[in-house]
Amino acid sequence: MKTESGDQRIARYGMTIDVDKCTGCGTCAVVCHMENNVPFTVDESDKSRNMAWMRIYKVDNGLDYPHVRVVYFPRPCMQCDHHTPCVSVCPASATNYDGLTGIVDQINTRCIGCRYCMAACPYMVRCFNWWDPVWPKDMEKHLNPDVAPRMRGVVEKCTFCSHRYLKAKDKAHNEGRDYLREDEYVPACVEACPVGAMRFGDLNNPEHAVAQLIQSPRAFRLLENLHTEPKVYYLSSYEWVRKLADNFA
Amino acid sequence: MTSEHTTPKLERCSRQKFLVWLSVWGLLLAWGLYGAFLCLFKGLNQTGMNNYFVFGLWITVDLAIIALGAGAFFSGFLFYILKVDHLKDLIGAAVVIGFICYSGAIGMLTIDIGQPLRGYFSFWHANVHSMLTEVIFCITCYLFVLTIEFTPLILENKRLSEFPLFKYIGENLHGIMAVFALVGTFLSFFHQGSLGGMFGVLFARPFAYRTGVAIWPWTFFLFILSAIASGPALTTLVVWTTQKVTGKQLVRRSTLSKLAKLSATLFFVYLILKAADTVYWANVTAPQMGFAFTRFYQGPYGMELLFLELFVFGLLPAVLLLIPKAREHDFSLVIGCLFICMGIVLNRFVMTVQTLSIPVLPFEKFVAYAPTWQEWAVAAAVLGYGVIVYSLSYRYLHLFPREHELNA
Amino acid sequence: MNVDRRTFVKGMALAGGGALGIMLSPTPWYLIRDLAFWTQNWPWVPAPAPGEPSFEKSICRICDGGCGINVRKVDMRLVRIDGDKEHPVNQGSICPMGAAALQMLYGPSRTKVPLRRVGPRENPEWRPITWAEAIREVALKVRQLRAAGRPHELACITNSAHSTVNQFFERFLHAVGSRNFMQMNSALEAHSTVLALMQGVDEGIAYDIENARYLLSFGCNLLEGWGACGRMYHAHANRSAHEGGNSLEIVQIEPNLSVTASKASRWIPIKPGTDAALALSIAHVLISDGLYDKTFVERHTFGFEDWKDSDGKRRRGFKSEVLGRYSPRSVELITQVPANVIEEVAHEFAANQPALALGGRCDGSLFAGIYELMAIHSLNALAGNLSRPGGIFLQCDVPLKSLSPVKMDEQAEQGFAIPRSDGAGSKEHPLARHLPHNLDAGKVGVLLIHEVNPSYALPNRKVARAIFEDIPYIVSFSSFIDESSMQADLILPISTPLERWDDHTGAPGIPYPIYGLSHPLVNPLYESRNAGDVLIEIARELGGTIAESFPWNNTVEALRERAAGLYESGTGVIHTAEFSATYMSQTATPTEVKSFPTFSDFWNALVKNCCWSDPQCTTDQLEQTLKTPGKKFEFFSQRLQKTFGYSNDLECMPHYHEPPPNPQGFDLLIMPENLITMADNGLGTPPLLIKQLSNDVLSENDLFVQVNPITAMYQGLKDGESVILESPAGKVRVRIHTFAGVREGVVLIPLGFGHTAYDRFLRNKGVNALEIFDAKMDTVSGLAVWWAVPGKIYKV
Repeated sequence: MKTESGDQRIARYGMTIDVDKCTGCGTCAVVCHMENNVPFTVDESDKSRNMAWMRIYKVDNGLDYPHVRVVYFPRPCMQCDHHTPCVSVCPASATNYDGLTGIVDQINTRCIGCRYCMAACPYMVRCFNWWDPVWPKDMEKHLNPDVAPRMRGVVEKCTFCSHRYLKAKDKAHNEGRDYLREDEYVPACVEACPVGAMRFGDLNNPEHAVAQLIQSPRAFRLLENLHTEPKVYYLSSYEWVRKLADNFA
Repeated sequence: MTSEHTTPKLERCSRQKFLVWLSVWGLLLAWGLYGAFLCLFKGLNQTGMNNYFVFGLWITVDLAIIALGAGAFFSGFLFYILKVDHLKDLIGAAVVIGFICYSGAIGMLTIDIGQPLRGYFSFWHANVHSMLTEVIFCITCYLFVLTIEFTPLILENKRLSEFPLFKYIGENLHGIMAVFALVGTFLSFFHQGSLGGMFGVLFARPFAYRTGVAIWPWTFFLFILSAIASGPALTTLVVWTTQKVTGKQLVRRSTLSKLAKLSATLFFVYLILKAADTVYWANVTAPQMGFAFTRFYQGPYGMELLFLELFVFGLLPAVLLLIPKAREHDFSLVIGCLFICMGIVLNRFVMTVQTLSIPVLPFEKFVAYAPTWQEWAVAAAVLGYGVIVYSLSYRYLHLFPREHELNA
Repeated sequence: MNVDRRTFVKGMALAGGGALGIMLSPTPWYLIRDLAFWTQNWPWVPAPAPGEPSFEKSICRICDGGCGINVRKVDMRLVRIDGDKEHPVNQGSICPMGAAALQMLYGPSRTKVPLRRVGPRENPEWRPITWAEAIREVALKVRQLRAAGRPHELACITNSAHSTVNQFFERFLHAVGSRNFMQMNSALEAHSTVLALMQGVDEGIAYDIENARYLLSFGCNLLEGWGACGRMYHAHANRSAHEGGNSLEIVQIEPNLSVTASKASRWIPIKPGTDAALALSIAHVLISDGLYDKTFVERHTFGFEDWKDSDGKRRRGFKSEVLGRYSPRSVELITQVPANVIEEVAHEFAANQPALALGGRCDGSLFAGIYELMAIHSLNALAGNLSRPGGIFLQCDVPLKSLSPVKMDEQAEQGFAIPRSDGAGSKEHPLARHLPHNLDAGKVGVLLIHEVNPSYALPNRKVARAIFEDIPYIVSFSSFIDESSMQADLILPISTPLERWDDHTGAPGIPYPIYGLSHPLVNPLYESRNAGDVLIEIARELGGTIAESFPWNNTVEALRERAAGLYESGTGVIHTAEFSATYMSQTATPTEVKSFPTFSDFWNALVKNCCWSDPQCTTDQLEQTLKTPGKKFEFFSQRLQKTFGYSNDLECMPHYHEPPPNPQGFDLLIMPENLITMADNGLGTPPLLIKQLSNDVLSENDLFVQVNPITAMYQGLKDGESVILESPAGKVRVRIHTFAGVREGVVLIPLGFGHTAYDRFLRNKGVNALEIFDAKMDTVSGLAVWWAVPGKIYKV
């Protein structure tokens, strides 16, 4: 890879998820929750209160047997690019849009827990810590030291594993580079996807696979009519899937 | 403005009776405090809220009582600035009601946020783009103003005014009250508006989102108007209830009628604008976001809520109170004011809870919300707190300047 | 006292000054700041300790797939598992279960110290004992058996892995004098029987999926844990990788819309249980339209055309049989698959060579009978796809050095002469190797259970119950408090695969030999030990020839000894990798075994990289895959006729026979559903996977079964309603979820729920579906058949 020119150094990290390939296995969510120390409770079936940075939705085309078909939508934070809904509403500036990467991050120690950001987010990406996180005693051993566990009373969400970005950037800096290679910074979910349905990279960099993939006629985003400009793109060859993403509007 | 130097002795019920009255409401307050303690100690898992209903009963009540508490600033504005003199009858009561509403709302908000001890971060790390920042700043400041407006009333108390210092402060504060009334009006306009703006700006929630002017969505203005319309309605209701409970004539009957007329007129104007807003939103704003208006009402909160809000608790009381004869009858006066208040509560409920119940993401479904007893307890505690503060104020302060004269 | 304006101002100033003074003093500010600090550092919120990061390789042992993993370590804590991109099985892909394996390692249901049961099995209490006591106790029980002249009453049920530790168990039983070593049946076990009958070989089946263009899958849940899960994911990832080149089409023949069906190029819904008829009808089209590999069939098969036996009697061949009975039109009536679809599929199958026909529903272990699998396998023979790229191969032996022969004393010899208690190899089940679901519990005195959970997972529930009711003494070698351990007499805490030395050969379905060696990444937690080491100690305690049969000091010595065979073979490669401490990059180069100067260099590389493989070594010669007496693929299995003496020719050939009608009142068909997120083999499921379950699978503790909305309507049931699901074998309480992807008349019940042991995150959630599946035994293979059971459903 060539050194990028000056004006390209402002990255817009984005993701593509091929829903035609995704089997809904949940590996992305499992590794995400391992990587980011997302807690779990005894009753995880209460989806209205459980913590999930990556949630996998199973949707069908609504047809009868045998015409019914199913796809899976893994849903990380959409990392909205335009007037990010959650960022503008936070009264305590606890969630911010990073101009250098386009990553929407969450400062959990600053969050006051008002949950206004959750009301603002149409993608149900954000989770509130209704309880203090508790791991059985020895399970604390598998917690990742790169991400601090959150306390009760604050909101959390997917950050595109921004701690990995910081690490990769440090490494690049130590090697005297001011850019990152495509494979240097990848969130845990993308790294783990066993069927290669997820790709990650800089949407501003035409050499990155994602920048090419989002040009495809298969590419679409969730709720495009809201003009939140997500940086997570989905890919599908099926028209019903693409239409579903915008509520068939 | 000159204050009366001699306060006539007022007749009040026996201490015993009063204590019984207080303890009833005190129990309610204690129950609520227990609920609040649980929420603070164990966390918000004690509530019925969840990741869908991030706002619930408390925010509805907050928004509603802040709107209904607008009687304070609006009466103050009319009385001190526009010199609408007959409001002097109940300006004291209006201030107390306002104080109760605002302090109650802030108390509830403190429990409602997940990290109350970090609450001040919204000042320290303020995000000026957030409507909520505006709300928090304004209501905190306005509570100061209300406290200052409340102070002379307290200092007029016979016992307290025996201390010359208090007496002096009380008298002199009156002199500058107009300034505070003005500041209060300004702050109130802003935070009432911002409360509406809070939901109107949620451009990713098609049910709540409204277009507007500059940074202010139409809900900003609708909330202001609905607040100043309903504030006097609550004041009327409270004063009327006080008269019924105490068995005394406290204000001139005509004052209540005038206040109701004012409320109804403003409410009528509000309804016209609200209707225009609804029509525009239903036909332009929502469809542009990919949502058919009717889809919003396919869940647990149906079209009947819209009907109730616009007609039963909207047009009906507005028209009723615009009829002079109806205002003269206590029954229709009270029903009218009550319905206006309920209309506002319903509006605030719709803007918060209904907004959150509607799925935006295609994979989600409609959801319903039920508050837990802890939430009801805290909400009830605000009522208990309000009645206690109001009762104390009525008993020991000179809330109604004409009371002596009317009960002579 | 008279107050004038001056005094007022003074008073105000005083008050204001006081307030200002307090505000200017640091006290209130420090207080609110420190309170906020406190909320940011609540002592009860764990703060994971930072440390030195590193990566180590290992082999995932959650299932028998043998996928390679990279484990991220921070000091001595394991914090993440990724797929090993260089591992030949999975090439970086792992399943969610593997990704969450650390939750098992550190989970609350680990066994910590040896426990001896006091009190009855129904209501056990556990007393911690020392390892020395535990070993003495097991040795004593074995000694007592031998003293009573009943050494053959020692039995062992272990997992289906091909590992040295399992050989240790078998060896231990030999040395004591018992044949009753039983492995749980692996998913592809039935296919071995098919190969034995049609190809005359003993090895397992292997599919060259990576080079195939077309998979005709008869209900195999390829994407939900079939074969080595990581391998199938990787194959799925590359399905359309080579545009216009070797893209892989998957055609899924299945009654219900599984994940595989929804991801397949084409889903062909079929009436449950009629797969054999469809396969033979496809064969009909291939034959009648001349689309089969005539050369192969002519040269290398037996029983295709009509033939004459040694008596000169004319026998009907496969061709006549298929052409006579399985025309698409008549099969349409059986399978409810339209005749034109059958023809289309047959033509596609012929046109998209190399194509594979795969059988074995769910994870591969469910089938309606051996003839069904034979019918499916016939298609591979018709296509001539044996020992060809993209075709059928055999699993190759790994050239490990064999362990030295077992030493047996007289007692052992006597015991060893007595036949097995599970009937495997007997007259009734001559082709079977292990039949734990047929164990006669009355004939067992001491049972060793190793890393399996028969109490939960044995498909024959009567036997499962009898084992724990009738066997006097049961030892559970287990890492977890599972159902079987809870009913044992002694629980021995075994280290999990990430804490121990272990090995694994024979990744299922892989056409070339692979050997996985795993070493401890962390010191064993608690007092857990390697099962191999424990067996060595028990053997020493017993002394004599038993001790002599275990000449090693520990397991790793034996592993090292066996690995010498790999080195001496001089074949194969090790993917040697260098790690960087960052997240991604890892570079590996295949290093040939020949290039290691000494065994010790080879051993060190093997330990570090965990995997030896020999991609060059496949059974690519027909003489390797066809070992029947005539060196031919037998459409008519002479072995079947010889073994069972069948007089009816049909019984020696693939055929479809109609299942018996459902018992009165049972008008529905209950089928098991494999969820990738739930371990259904009796192993626990970690909390992060349970988090993945949708709330229309599990809501609080209620399990949902899926039915078609029309079925629900006929039964008068609403979505979400609580119902009783009943089969002739039993009934369970569940709720229903309507889903159009389920065939009318079918009830899909997910496996892996209803645990009564393990931790609070798993316990008491839903019901164990096996309770209502009345497993039958396949007449030919003896394997458990439980792909479906008649059922009814009604309101609570």
